[in-house]
Amino acid sequence: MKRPLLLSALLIAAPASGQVFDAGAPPASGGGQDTTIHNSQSKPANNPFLGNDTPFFDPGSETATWNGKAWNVTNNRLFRGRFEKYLSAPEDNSEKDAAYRKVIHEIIQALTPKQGALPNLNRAVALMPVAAEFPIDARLCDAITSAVYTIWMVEKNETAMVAANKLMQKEIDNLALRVEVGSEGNSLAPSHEKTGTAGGVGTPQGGQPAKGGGAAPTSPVADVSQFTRLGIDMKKITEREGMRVANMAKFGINELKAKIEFQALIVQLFLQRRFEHTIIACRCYNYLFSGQDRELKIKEGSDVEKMFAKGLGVNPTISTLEAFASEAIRDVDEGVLAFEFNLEKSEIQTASNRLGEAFAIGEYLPRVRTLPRARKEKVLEFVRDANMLISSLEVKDYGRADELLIKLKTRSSDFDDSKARAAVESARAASSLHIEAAKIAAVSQDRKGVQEEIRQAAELWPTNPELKSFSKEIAENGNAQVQILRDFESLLAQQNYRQIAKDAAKYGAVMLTNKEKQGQLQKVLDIVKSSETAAITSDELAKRGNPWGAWESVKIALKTLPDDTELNKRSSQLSSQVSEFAHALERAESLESKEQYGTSIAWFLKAKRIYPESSFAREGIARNSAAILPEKAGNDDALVESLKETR
Amino acid sequence: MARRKKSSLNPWALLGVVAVLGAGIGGYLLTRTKTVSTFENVTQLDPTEYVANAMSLQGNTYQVTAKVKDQIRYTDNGRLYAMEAKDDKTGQMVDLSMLFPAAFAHESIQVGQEMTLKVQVERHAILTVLDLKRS
Repeated sequence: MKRPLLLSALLIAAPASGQVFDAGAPPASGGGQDTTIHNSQSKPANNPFLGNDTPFFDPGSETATWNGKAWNVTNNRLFRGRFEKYLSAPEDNSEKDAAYRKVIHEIIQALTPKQGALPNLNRAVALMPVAAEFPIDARLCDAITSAVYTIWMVEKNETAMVAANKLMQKEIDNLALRVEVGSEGNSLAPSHEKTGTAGGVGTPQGGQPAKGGGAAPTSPVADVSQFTRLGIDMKKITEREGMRVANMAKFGINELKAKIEFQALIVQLFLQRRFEHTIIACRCYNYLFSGQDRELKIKEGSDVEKMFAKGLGVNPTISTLEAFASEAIRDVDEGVLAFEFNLEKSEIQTASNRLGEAFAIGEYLPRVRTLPRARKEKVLEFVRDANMLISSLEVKDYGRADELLIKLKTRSSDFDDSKARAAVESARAASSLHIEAAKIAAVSQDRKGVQEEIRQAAELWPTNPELKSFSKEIAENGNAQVQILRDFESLLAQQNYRQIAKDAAKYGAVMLTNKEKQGQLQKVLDIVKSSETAAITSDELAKRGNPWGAWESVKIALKTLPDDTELNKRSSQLSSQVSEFAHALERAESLESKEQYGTSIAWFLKAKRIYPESSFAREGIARNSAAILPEKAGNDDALVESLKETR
Repeated sequence: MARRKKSSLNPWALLGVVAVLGAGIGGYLLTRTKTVSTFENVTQLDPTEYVANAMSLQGNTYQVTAKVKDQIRYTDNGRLYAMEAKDDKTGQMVDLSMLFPAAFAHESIQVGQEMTLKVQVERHAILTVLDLKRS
């Protein structure tokens, strides 16, 4: 699991920092080195080597995290776009491509240790500029060549510096001897002054060679001269020793700098998925630094260090990277083989997945680049539809997603539509539920509720066709509701209560939040109900031979429904049977209205004589008697008024 | 010559018979047209006319014999009774309401009692009892 993990980490490096080969693009003008050190140049000076934001990949979820963001490796727009572009592009089978691959192969072969033969770095370096001339190389071979030359220059400088140091050491020794002799009064001149030094690095600057004379000076002037010369020699010894030590230190620094730069180049090539170039660079490095420490100098605690540490469990070396590069090449080869196998079995989804994985790792490897377009085309349409499906799901166009799912399922027998189908169906169902809730809210005249439910439904599925139809329905219903309310008001003005009662459900539905209208409707319904009760009572009384009671019951109902056809019809039918009774009540009421209370009571009494149970008569008598004989002025006035109201 | 039988009709007897007949007829006629007047010089109330057109009778005083049917209302100011009086013309009973003011509070008036009342047709066509005589 460790190797795939590390390889997978490369997937995200591909679209993020990998170079995109474009045959039409001009070659990098700055040479390969410009390309390889691009990342390090773009980072702030105080950032560690390769930075701290190296991407990480979770194989379980196929999710990569980089710079604090996470995305699906094989399911992001950039990858999808590049993969589609690759599928529709022709294969690299031109003579140029073949020649390039041949050169690369020769370089690798030249650097491969064989039985009885050492790697031939010179030949490899000689071939690399040739490879760099091909656009597909992107001048990476130049970058490697440059790195090799740098090492060579360091080594050359080292040789020169060693020679210089030797000369300096020799001069120091001579100076030391002269000082020693001079201090002991020996007139012998230093040996180097006899022989002289013919310039070069070891030639003392400004120093004049001593001329002949073996005897020590005897004069005071000669003594002073001797002391001065000794002082100068001592100073020279110090200077030479300092230069020699500085040269040694410089040599160490130059070598370390060159190694780090080379390692950076190798890691960069590896992360760019240029595995062939990685192998070439690794072998060059091994050749140049054979027998030395090959551990990668990566800042401890950095993301790169963590990436390798997680993958290997140990500090990575140049050989490790080479092995990974070889493994990646093999993995890509297998991926392409698997693709071809799945393609033959018409397992388009699996085939496209395998090719996608191979492409993600080995976009620049020959096996991927030489895959015939005819084979790639077989999955191109599927991949396009799949990408469209992803886009549809991203923009929540579930209608389109549904169509694509059907299409994909038809095209590929192994297409697993369960996740997408579940997403589509759940979103559809949730959206529909919100629309249903909106409908209920609409019936309840809950405008805010409707708005909220519609908002949520649209959020889940913006293109839900039910939304459109519901909006239309709402508009139509709005007009219908206005019309229904107008009808109600019109019927109410006409006191056509029975018609209102007949369509009570319709009116009730549009008045649910209008309490005033609801009250009016309820009042109408109560009236109609009481009138119907009166009609039933009337029929019952008539059947029992009580036409007066029947008539009175109808009359009571007619007070609230004066224009009711049914009641008026009954009243007419009964009037002939109760004419005398009706006449008496009519007279009584007429006289009551004229404040002829005495005679009004007389007529009510007459009516009561005819029908003793008459409520009209009873109430009429009570009203008029109260008017004649008030208990207390105020109370009885109120009583009279209330009794009048009940008439 | 046959002797004519001498008439046996006594003129005094004949006069007596005529007087009796006259008194009988007169008595009949008197009782037929008018109830025995309890309150002298008080006109009998025509109940049918009253219920038909009380407005024209307002302010007048009548006497009427009626029977108590029910007490309609009782207050400190008086009592109101439902009574029935006979229409002498038609012989039908006519329902009336009589107001017995507080002055008659001491009178015991019971349902079924018949009495002759002296009444006045007041405003609002109210028959207010001024006096009463029990039968």
